[in-house]
Parts: sequence; C-alpha cells; structure tokens
Amino acid sequence: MIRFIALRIAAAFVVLFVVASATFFVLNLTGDPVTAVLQGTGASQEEIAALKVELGYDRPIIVRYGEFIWSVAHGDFGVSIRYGQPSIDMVMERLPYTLILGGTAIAIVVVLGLPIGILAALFRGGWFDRVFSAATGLAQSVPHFVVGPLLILFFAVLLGWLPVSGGASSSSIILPALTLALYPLALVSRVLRASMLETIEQDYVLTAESKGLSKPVIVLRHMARNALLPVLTVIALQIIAMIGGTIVVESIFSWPGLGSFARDTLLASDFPLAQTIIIFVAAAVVTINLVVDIVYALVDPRIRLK
Amino acid sequence: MISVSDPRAEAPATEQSARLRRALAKSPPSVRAAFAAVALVVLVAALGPLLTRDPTAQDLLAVLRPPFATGSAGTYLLGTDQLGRDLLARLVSGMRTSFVITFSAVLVGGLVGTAIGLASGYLGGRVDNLLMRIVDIQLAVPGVLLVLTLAAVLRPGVGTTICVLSLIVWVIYARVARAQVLSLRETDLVMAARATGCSNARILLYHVLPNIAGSIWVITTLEFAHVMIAEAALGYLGLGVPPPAPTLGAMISEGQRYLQLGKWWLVVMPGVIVSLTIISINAIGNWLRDIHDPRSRGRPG
Repeated sequence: MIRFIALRIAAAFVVLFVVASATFFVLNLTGDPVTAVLQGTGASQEEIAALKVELGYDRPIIVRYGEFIWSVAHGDFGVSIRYGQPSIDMVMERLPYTLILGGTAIAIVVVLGLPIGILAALFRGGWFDRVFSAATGLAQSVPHFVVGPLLILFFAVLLGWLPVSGGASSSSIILPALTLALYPLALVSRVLRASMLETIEQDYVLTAESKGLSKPVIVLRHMARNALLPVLTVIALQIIAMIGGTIVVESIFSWPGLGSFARDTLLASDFPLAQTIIIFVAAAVVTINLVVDIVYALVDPRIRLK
Repeated sequence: MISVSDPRAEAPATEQSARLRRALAKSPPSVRAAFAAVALVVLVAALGPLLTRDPTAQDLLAVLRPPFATGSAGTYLLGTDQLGRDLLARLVSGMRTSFVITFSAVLVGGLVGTAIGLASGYLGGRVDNLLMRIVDIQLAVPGVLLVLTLAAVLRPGVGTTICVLSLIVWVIYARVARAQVLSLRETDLVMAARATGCSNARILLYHVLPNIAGSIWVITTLEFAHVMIAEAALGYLGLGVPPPAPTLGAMISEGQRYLQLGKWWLVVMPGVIVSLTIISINAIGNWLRDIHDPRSRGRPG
C-alpha cells in the first residue's frame, strides 16, 4: 500500500512538471509577454526594452526555462508584469473567494441533491419523478453563461432581491453558487436515484421490510447508505469539473476569485501570472485525483495490485 | 494478401443502420421533436444570409429596440442591439459560425482521437503507455483553462478556435476508442482476421472500427453539444472569433451589460436558442446511447 501511494505521488509530480514546462513554452514561444502587456499603453520602445532587461526577458528561452523550473521548485513563481507583485501573493489573495464559492456550491449539491434523488427514486413514475426527470435534463443542458445572466435578470434586475455582481456583500455569493451547483446537482440526484432503484431489488431491503422496520429506517439506513458510494465518486469528479466551471461562472458575476482572475490575466497577456494560476489549478486537479485513487485503493484492494 | 472481400466486415455496419432505422421508427415524440429542432436550426443557419439582413449593418436611430420594433429598415423581429444591429440576423449568423466551428473541431478531434485510441489500444505496451500518459497530463488542466490559454496566445480567428477546441475533443475519443479496442482485441473476430493474414491496418479499419462505430456516434453527438457550449463560452469570455463577426457567446456577454436597463432580449433570445439546440442535441445523444447500450437506459450521462 505504501509503495502504491509513493508511486502515485511520484506520478503526480511528473504530471505537474510536464504541465508546468508545457505552460512555460506555450506562453513564451509566441513572443515576449512584456511587449504584449505594454502594447498600446503608451510605453516607449526604450521603456519596454528596459523592463525586458529588468525582468530577464532578453535572455534565451532555454536559460529562462531552466531558471523558471529552478525557482518554481523553490516556491518562487515570478513577478506579474502588469502589477509588479509576486504572482504567488496575488493568487493567494484570490484563492479564498474561489474556495468559498466552490464550497457553497458543493453544500448546495449535497443538501438539495441527496433528498431530491431519494424522493425521485421512492416516487418512481409519479409526477415528482417526471418533473424531476425533465428538470434535471434541462439543468444538464443549459450552459453556465445562459443560466447566470437569466438568474441575474430574475433575482437581481426584476425582483431586486440580490446583487447583480461582485463580491462585496454576503448575499453576492448566492447566484454564482447556484449557477455553479446546477449541473452537479442534477447529475448527483440522478445518480442517486438510479443507485437507489438498484438497492430496492436487493435481498437486504426485503429482509428489512419483513422484519417490520419503519419505512424511513429502511430508506435511510438500508437503502440510501448503500446507494451512496457511486454518488461520492460522482461528487469527487464533479469537483474537478467545477474548477473549470469557476472560470466562466466567476466571470459572469465578476466574483473576485481565481477563475475570473485567470481570464483577466490571459486577456491582458500577463503570462507569468497566468503560468502560476495554471500550475495551481493543475496541482488542485492532480491532488483530487490522487486522493480519489488512494481512497479507492484503500476500499478495494484489487486496484492496488494492478 | 487476401483479395476476396470479407463479408464479416460489412455485416456490422448494415446491421447497425437497420437497427437504427427500426429504433427511429419507434422513438418517443421528444426525440423526434429534438431531431426536428436540430434540423430547423441547421437549415436556418445554412440559409442564413439569404433570409436575414446584414448582421453588422447599424441602424443608429433604432438602438436597443425590443422585439417586433420597427426601424428605418423595417421590422426587427427579435429587436436590435446597442448599435442598432438586427438581433435576428446576428443570431442566425452566430449560429452559422458556431456550427462551422463545432463541426470542424469535432471532425478533426474525432478523427485524430479515434486514430490515437485505436493505435494505443491495439498496439498496447509502450505506445499505449506513452499516449495514455499524454491524455492524463492534458486532463490535469481543465478544458476551459486550456482552451482559454491557447486562445490568448494565438491570433484569434475561426481557424484558431477550431484547432483549440479540437484539443478538448481528441482525448474523449482516444479514451473511448482505446477502451473498446482493448475488449475487442482478444475476441475471435480479431483472432480470425489475424489468422487469415490481414495487416494491422486492415484489421483496425475493417474489423475493429465497424464494431466500435456505435460508441463513436454516441460520443460524436454528445461532444457536438459539449464543443458548442465551449465555443460559446470562449466567445463569452472574450477570446473567441473577434468582432464585428457575431458569435453567440459574445452576444450574450455584450447583452448582459444592458440587463440592468431592462433590455432582456439581448440575453434571453440568444440564450434560449443556444439552450434549445443543446437540449435537442443531448436528447438525441442520450437516445442513441440507450439504443446502442440498453443497459444504460435511464442512467444519467
């Protein structure tokens, strides 16, 4: 088991190393970022050249690559061209907003998705199930950039209940979190419904019924508990999908997290900063995958023998 | 080596199309409605320039007019935007761009991904290891971020958008094709073909490919919806096909700025059309998956 975990961690570092290298070359091969950022800002050729020398962009790319890998390995992610601050500090400033948004969305998924999925399974074929099927189908097809503006139109513009955008007040988080939660909410409740329906046919449910246990006890303790494993897998995978989703959702609502920051940074060609964000995001994805793999291996010994 | 035509090679394909026709005949009304909706949208997008006004022509005396408003150029069925441009014309033109980009990206990504998946699964060993590691590495960066990064570095345009989007497509095809080949490789079908002296290329093209065609069609449909959303998202984030060419995503993000003034149609019209198209494509995709693999019926995607 220790060998398995050690191999997985090593593989994760290899993936991150390749991602960091690929990002560096993609962002640097097509031209130098200093010119890209300062173009059209009124900076003179001399000023651009001076900044290039100051930030080291006048040296050959292979030297810069070596230095980049060396400093990243030592926790130094370089300086943002646009803001002139260490990019790691700027990422850390934005990261809490994304974590709060993601956490709220996951909470919505769990709190609403589990009861809805259980109810849809219990009332299979009834009106609730039919509404459920149509609603989840809809929720899984309508893209973020349609849901978000429509929520703004209803709850912010027409009803005036919630702020249009930004992160200033505590109610600002409601609309972006709902937008981000919609797809995983539909998926999780659908998976739970299907998984519940499979447990209904199991012998242990029949046994529980014949013992005369009450319906809530059977449903919650005997069915839902056994139906939950596939749901946990889906939630883990959906967290990875949500990391990508935050870029669009945060941009829709001008939520000051890492997602909207990534977009602004790429639009402004501030590549040292973009590089840092991409490495961070990749590290998050790789870590989640690693944890899922290890948990699986702990639960199912067959996996680690492969 | 063997010059006689191989009857087994054609059997699966004709059988599949017959099965598809039978399934279509007894498909539920919702699936038929989805087919009709997609056909209608594609038709309107294809005939676009013949039916509508110039999508970039401005009518500055009729800016931000609601649907059915009249201006100097007649009635604007879906209203006008902040520059007095006909929303219907822009929507149709944006749809057209979206279809061209989506179709090309799925085609390129699908061909490359299927070829890589076939080779990876069939050859196995080191090739397989290397190719699947590349897939893992790419999947460490979320698709939107990958697409956004490349779009920011490259010169924006239709060609760039197609290339960038095909990158998120190929991994899906490669994984599905590889998984299918792995299970087919050990079957009598492939053994027999190998025993009769078929080359690897012939086995893959005539014996393996027809047998995985069903799954390929299913993911093609679902990926079409996926890429369409990604294209619009790219436009929404400001890194798609550059203006003044209308794109669905850019229309929604521009329209969002006028929401607080109550100009709802700028967001609602493109949003509803995009959503209906995606819903229809997904409905077709899920239906195809159900008839292809009855065990998956009723299961979520």
